[in-house]
Amino acid sequence: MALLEIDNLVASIGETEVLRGLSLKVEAGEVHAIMGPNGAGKSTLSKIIAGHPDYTVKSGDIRLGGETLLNKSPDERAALGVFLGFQDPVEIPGVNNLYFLRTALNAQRRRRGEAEIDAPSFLRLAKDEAARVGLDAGLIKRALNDGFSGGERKRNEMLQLAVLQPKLAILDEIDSGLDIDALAAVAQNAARLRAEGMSFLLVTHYNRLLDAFPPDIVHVLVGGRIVHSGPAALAKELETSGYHAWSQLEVQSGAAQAPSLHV
Amino acid sequence: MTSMNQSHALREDLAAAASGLNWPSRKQEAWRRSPVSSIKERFSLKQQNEAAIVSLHEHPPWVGEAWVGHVLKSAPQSEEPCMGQEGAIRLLWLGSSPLVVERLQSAENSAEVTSGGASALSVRERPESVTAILAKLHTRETLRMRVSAGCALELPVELLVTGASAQEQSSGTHFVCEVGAGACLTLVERCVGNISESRSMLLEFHLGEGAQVEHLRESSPADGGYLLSEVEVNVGAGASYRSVLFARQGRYQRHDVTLNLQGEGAKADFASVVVADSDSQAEVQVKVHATAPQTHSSMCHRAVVKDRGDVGFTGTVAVTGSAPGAEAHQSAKALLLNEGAVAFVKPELFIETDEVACSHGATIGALDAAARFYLMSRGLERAVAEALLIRACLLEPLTGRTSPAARWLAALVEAELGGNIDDAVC
Ligand SMILES: Nc1ncnc2c1ncn2[C@@H]1O[C@H](COP(=O)(O)OP(=O)(O)OP(=O)(O)O)[C@@H](O)[C@H]1O
Ligand SMILES: [Mg+2]
Repeated sequence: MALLEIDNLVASIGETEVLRGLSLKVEAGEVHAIMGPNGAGKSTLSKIIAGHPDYTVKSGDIRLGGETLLNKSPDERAALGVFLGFQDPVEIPGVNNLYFLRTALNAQRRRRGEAEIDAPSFLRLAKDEAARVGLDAGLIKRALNDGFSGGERKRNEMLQLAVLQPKLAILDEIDSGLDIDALAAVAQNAARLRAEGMSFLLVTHYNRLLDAFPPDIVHVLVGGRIVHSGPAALAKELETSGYHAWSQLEVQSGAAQAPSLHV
Repeated sequence: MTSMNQSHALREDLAAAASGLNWPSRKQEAWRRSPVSSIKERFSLKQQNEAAIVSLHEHPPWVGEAWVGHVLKSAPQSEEPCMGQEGAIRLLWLGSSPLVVERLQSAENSAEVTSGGASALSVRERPESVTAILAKLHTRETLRMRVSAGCALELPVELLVTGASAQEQSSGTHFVCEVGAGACLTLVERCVGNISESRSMLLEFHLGEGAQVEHLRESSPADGGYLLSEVEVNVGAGASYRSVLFARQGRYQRHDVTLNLQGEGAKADFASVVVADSDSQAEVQVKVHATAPQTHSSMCHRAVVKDRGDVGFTGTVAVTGSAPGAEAHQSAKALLLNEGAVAFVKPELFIETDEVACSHGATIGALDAAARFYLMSRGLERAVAEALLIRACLLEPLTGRTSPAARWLAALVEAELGGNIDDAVC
């Protein structure tokens, strides 16, 4: 049984149908990359897997380890092993970064019937992981993402990922805003976590991250569907060919039911 | 009649009496600044016959237990010494019964209180430092407290106002606090109702040159209780008045605060943190009058409103021509947790000089859904995520401070939010 299975997912926000029959399978320990034009539905897919309440799933199913996620709240999904690294992590002044992370970790552990982590062990863990992604020790004690630079926020997402240890890490454009060193650190950490069995769904526009952290499979997402999948080399091809061909196809085949398609 | 029946009857009487007092209705209050003078008259504040006692060095220091007057059993249990410090001085105001001063040494002491006729008592913290004064007081009399020049009180003084009397359905308290030049005082004022009541408070502060006052206020009338509170502060040259008001529940509470920055370099910082649910209404009106050069003031208001709660805030800054170089900042934020909750925020500026730096910002809105999803996506239950966001909003005025005031506020807010927040280390 695959770790993540998405069958024919149709989902909308408000009046807009964003995902239009999307299917995807990720085995445990695999790395999948999702590429596609702006507005194709990549972030939407990520948020729907994590349980964002603004989206309505009209049909299809999302399962993690064989269990459907659809009737579960975001916190239940987190405890089951879903982690979403946000494209734009929000700033939350007044909520302390470390305090929040420990509360979150312990909430997940409680739900899974595991023992809670004590404060000193947690602090050690958080400090080690912060050092690995090059986050300043002073920064992690501040309010959550409050006044963090774009790159610092992304590093903070990686810190949370490493501490929370999910089964599936969905990283939505984790590479945007990262400097060269940070990108290398992120790739290195991701590779380490993968070696420990974590699966990845990487949403990205560029090859930089994929060169450093090669995926097993690359999917092309256009108009709310996966229109093509291939090996890591596909990412390189896309760099030269672009999405034009896929978009054209999509318009031809999907025009009738999808008049609002972005081209 | 059993005492339970008695207290029940008393409660009913008080509730009936309070509702007959012409409190502003919800509809009237929608216009804000509803007149409350008729109510104030009934409370007859500022009595002529001042029963204040001031007295210090002459009396021997009172060590350990020291009480005057009535049985303390009717007082709320003095659970915790205020701000967690043993030895804090507590001024207890029990409806129309005599005022009691208690030094919190140990909890056992408070059990064996005898009623007595002593009319005055002075407590000295240390031979060289004057501490607090107290009097046998009845409602509608004035309590005056003086802190002599240069005297830095290390421990907070607590003014506890509670309950109401059977004889008088409503009661008024007039408290005058004079803080001499260079003196320091932390006053913790707790207005906590244990039975339905209506109560009025008038507090006056006079800060001499360079004096520093921290005024922490907890205003928590009983369910259905009414509270009208007025604070007037005169801040002398180089003096600083800092106040945090935590207000919650009650049927109606209104806080009028006037901060007169009269001396050069006078400073006032005011923060109000209000929580209202069910049918609670709370109104905070703060006025800063800067009449001397180089003054500084800040106001910070945070409210969380749910059910049919209603919270208003008006922040007025008036800078006269004689006050160049004034700095005045204001920020107000209200979180509405459901439809039907009401918040009102209004900044007012009257500036008569060019040389000023003023800022204000106001927002009213729902909980940030993106922030909530972010927290939940990491594994926090919805209730916990919301409690964290509410807490962050309410504690914002003191964010980053590690002072006793910040800890005091954090404890109150956490108690209010219930069990959703564990060992906070924010
Ligand atoms: N709240 C919303 N209301 C209406 N439409 C929305 C909303 N959120 C997303 N959409 C629409 O859904 C479509 C998919 O958006 P999504 O953010 O998933 O794109 P994306 O593939 O992540 O793009 P990018 O590469 O720019 O990040 C877009 O057309 C977008 O305008
Ligand atoms: Mg996106």
